Amino acid sequence: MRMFVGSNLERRLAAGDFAVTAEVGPPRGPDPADVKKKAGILRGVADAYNVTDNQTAVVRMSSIAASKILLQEGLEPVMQIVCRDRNRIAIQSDLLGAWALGIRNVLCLSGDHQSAGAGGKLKGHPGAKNVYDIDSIQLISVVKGLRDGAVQEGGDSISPAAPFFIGAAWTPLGPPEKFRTIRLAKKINAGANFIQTQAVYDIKRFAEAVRRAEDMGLTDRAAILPGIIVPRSAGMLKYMNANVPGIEVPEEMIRRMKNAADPKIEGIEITLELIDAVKNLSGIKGVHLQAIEAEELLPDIIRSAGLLPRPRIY
Amino acid sequence: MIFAEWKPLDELIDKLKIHRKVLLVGCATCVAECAAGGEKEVETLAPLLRMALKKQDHSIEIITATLEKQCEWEFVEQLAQQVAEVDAIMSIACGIGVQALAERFDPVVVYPGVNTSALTIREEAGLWAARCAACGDCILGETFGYCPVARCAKSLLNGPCGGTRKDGKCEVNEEVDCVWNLIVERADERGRLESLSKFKKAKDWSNSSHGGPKRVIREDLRQ
Amino acid sequence: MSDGNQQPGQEPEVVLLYCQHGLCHEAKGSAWYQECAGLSIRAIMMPCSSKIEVSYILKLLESGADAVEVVACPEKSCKYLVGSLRAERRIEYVRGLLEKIGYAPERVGISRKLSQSPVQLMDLARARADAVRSFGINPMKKGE
Repeated sequence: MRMFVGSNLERRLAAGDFAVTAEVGPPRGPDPADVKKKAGILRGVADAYNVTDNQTAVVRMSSIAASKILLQEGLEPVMQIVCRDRNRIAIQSDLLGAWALGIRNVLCLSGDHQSAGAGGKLKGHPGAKNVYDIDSIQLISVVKGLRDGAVQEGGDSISPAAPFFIGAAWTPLGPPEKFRTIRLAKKINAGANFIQTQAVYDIKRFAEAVRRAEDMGLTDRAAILPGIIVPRSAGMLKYMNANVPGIEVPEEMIRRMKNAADPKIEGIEITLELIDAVKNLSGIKGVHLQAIEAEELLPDIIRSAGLLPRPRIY
Repeated sequence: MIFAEWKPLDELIDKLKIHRKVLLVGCATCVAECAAGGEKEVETLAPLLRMALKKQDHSIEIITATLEKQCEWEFVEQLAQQVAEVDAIMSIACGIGVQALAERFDPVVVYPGVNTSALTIREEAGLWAARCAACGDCILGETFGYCPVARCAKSLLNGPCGGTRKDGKCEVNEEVDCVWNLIVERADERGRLESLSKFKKAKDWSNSSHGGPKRVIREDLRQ
Repeated sequence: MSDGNQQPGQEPEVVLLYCQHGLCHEAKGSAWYQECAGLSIRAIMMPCSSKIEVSYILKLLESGADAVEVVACPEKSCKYLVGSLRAERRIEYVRGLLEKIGYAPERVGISRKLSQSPVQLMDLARARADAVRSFGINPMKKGE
């Protein structure tokens, strides 16, 4: 695989090591200490850290600023970019700025619709005008243009090029399922180098989807990192199964959490089993871990999974 | 059709209460189809406004008219006599009709009585749904007759986002079909799923409102 | 709550709109509603309750009726299948509109009855009158 930017994440994957990424959600306020605190908890446990871009359509510190803070703290960011809030002019401008600040990994997403408002938990800005000038796949090709062609979407050249390691999302079990592999292929054809997936709980169905991708030769062309959200309770699993598109939780797993003496410990146990299961899947190159509002759980989980210390990157 | 809905009645009453005599004008075209601004609605809104104004002790006379098309000058002209009697007009046509009246009858104030919001089809009795976004670069030929610009909450051009619900509805509204789910289903039925694997590059929005206010000249039709 | 001026002693004026099938056979053809003289009830027969339009109900109220009672066929008995259902939906819509402009929605109501005797129809109108009495006379009557 050709080396594009030599970020930690890219080199880890190039070396054939099992990669670990985690998520750092920026705060709803302006205090850099909030980002630094999470950085302190997660330093050294992952190869790179996703910095979300106003996820669930709630205003948070910009992903570009929070990414820069992570860099200062010695953590490598994966800067997420959604298509909801910025047109191709603003996105490219921010990409150039991000590169100037030392940000090398980006994840290209459509973004939650502005009506989301944290799933109704916060007010958000449902009256906002959205942009969606380009979609996530077009965004991938825009980033690729800045990197490989040193050219902006409109055709003007830039100097020097702005090389990024390009990520994209995949929801393998979302309907229409027959199209999800085709969509993955479109993302990889457009320039995606790594893929982080929607949270996986149903290993059997996920494995089937990965096999279809493998049959199309996609797993050789991009590194697939399944998403795993640490379950905290049966209610949370039930909620995600019913309400989060693309997340399928087997009934048995919900029952298991329900019957557990300590759901928190059981959730960690399940997470470890999931990591183990995806590790043994052909075509899987790492894992993307999230512990929503419980980042402090991740170091122990990653250690227990035998993924710590992270191997040195040469 | 151009879809519109009545503005909140409080807003209308607030606008009208400072006047002496008002002409309420409907349009028998699109807004009649969507039951917001046709003759029936004029004759519903007029008594309602009279009752509301009277209750608040405002004595305002409301006269009514409904034009065949409020967006055509020759029909607009028919109002000249009635407009001469009033000190304000309220139009429940789309924004085009409102502006036609405002232009023709300047300086008489023209209030919009409806909010114009979409280009829709009447799917069933009492149910309208968006079909077109007037994007200026039609791709229906490649999307199996379903418009993702108007019918996808994110106007995605390369397939569905991760927000398609298990039942094929959109994450933004559980009553609305994920249009990409429909596109994929139809493509599959026709054995043409592969055609959707083609990358659609960033769209040129300049032939829509994003390119500045539309202005078109057809020399063959000029006088 | 009052949406109008309370004037004791004044009987509410009720317009009774009834489907032709809402009246029993024996009373058909008779000018039964003449018996209502003095009761402030005006009865109007319709071929089907679906003939009522929202604008028509509002015009009745605008012209001073204190209440409107519609008598429509029960759901499964409507000769035009969905006629009485449509009537019910429209009445609901009118009630919503009235509420928005500060009028008591009770000023408009609907009963689903078949083959009523004149006395029964009168009772329905009276019940509607009773429902609106506390709201006072229709404000549209003021200053006339």
